[in-house]
Amino acid sequence: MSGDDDLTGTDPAPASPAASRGRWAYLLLPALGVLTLVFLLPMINLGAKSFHLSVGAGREAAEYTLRNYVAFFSDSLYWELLGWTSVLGALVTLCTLALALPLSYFLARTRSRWRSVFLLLVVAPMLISVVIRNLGWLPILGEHGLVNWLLLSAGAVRDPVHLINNLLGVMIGLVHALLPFMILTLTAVIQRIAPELEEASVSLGARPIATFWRIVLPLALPGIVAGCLLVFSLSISAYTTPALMGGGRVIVMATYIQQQVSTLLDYAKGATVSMILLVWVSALSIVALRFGKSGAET
Amino acid sequence: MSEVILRNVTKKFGEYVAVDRLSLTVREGELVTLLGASGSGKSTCLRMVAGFLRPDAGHVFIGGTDATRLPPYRRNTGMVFQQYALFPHLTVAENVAYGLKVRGLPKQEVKERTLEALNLVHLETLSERRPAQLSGGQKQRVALARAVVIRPSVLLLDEPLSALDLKLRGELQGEIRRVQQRLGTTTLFVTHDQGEALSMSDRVAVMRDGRILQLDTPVALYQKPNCRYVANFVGMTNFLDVVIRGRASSTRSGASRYRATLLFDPAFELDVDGVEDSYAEGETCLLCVRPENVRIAGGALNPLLAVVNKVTFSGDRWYVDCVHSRDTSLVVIVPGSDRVPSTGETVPVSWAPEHAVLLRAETASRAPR
Repeated sequence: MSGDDDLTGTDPAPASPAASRGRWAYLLLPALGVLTLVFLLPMINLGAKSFHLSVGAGREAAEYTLRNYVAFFSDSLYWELLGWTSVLGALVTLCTLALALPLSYFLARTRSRWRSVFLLLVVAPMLISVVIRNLGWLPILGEHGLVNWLLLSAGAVRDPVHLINNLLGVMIGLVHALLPFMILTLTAVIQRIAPELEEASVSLGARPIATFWRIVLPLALPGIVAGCLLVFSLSISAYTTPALMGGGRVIVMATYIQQQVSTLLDYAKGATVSMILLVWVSALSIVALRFGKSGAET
Repeated sequence: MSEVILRNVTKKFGEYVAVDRLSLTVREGELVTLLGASGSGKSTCLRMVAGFLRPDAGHVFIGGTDATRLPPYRRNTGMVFQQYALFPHLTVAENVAYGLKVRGLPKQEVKERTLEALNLVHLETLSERRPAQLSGGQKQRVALARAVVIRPSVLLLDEPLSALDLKLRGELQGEIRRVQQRLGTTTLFVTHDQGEALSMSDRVAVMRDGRILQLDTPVALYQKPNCRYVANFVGMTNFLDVVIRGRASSTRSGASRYRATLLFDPAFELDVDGVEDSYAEGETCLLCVRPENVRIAGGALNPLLAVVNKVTFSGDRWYVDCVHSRDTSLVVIVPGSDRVPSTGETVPVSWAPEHAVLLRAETASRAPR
């Protein structure tokens, strides 16, 4: 019966904030149950597979071993895979940051009544299925697509430029997909910087550019770092966009895992690479959260 | 030379006229206060001098040059904000040095002048602290040091004391005035607090609906308000409707003295000084007299019999509300140590003619929207 007591809201004297927070925590139980069933248990199962050697299609040996991991880290091919995936992530992050910074500054500072419309437009790409979004790029970036047609008719190029089915295409797709995350993160952090700080700086003789470098950027830095880590970890773990926009010619960690698991049925190797990617992304996410929090405190 | 001149300045926000053909001169080394309720246009004026807003018409001159189209970073103004606006990621010393650094001054000079400015506001010991580690009063002193260290042509103070508690406010009023007078900085001060305006300023401009109603020294503003709004906004005032009966005599100060009767009690006759020189016989005017200038005592020139309605004690003084007739009531301030009449008692109240001011009824009722 004590459980009933905990859930009633009529308690005249709630003991302490911590206690009442503990009471609300019960509401998380259904979600936690579902996540455990469909997410955590399969992950444990997958993780377990990485500690066995593969013995033919879809089967693993019984004994536990670390040889999969040893193989991964002693083969330069895997290092290259990890390296290239990270380079792609870094490039995507830089492009996203460069595009998002001015836009976020505008969104954070504008008093226009269209502001909520602008914000909706920013979030809109997130509401569309990633497959549809990528397919949408084909008529624009393809060999006979809009961009090439414009370039050819303007006489800027002689032959069609390859904008898709290569690393560039993957980058364009990822930047497009991840831009909203960066914009939302940066807008939130810039909004917390009082406009009077910029006015104070300008009235003290600093030009707007100097004000941006000396005041806005340092104060927005925690948010910038958090946004970059978020975009970076999302782009190195992305599967659909590299698969569709790379046309099978761009191999990153996620597409490599897919190849191992569905094509070669080497579950052990797929699981090993998955676990390495998972650890790498989780570590980045934790650091990103830390930075996001320290930004909230200033 | 660093006087500030606003000439016929107008600023509109859409259809709303925030500042309406306003002209004002702040002389070199002078502290002029823009006093008004919110929406009176006082902050808009300040922001046009700072350069954050551009006037729709008119000109702003700072130190003899037309600054109307200059960006804020070229105006050499020092601004102090209500919410301090200290840079949270910089130390106190770095905050103060900011304006000098962006001017590209040599390191040694930056260091010396920063220390000098911190000494001026007695904060040299806190120079390595971050703004978050300071109290409200300390923050505003840092902001003041940061604003004056660049030797601004004009110091702009935008309600700098409003975020502070009452006691600190008084302390900082003195501090700001001391620094301002010591450096001789031309200063424009914006506040809605009439007490602050009276105690700190060389001159006060009372603003309403984007216009200056009266620009005068604090004493003149208090003793000779030129309209009902000013009389009401600055301090407490009693208003009585009177009818002019004719000229009495000229006073020593040159103002004309008139004989008048109460509108609702023609039997009661009194003398009063006019702020203008042309009141017609039979004209209805407004007489205003400050509560502390009203005496509860018989035997004076023109005692008015009134019934005590309410007596309120506030430590150093009593507020005595008296009612004469249905439309005539008066508040009298009596020193706290004095004896006060009790409620319901009929008392004679009076005041000296020079303490009463005559305002034109049309001036009084010209309440713009």
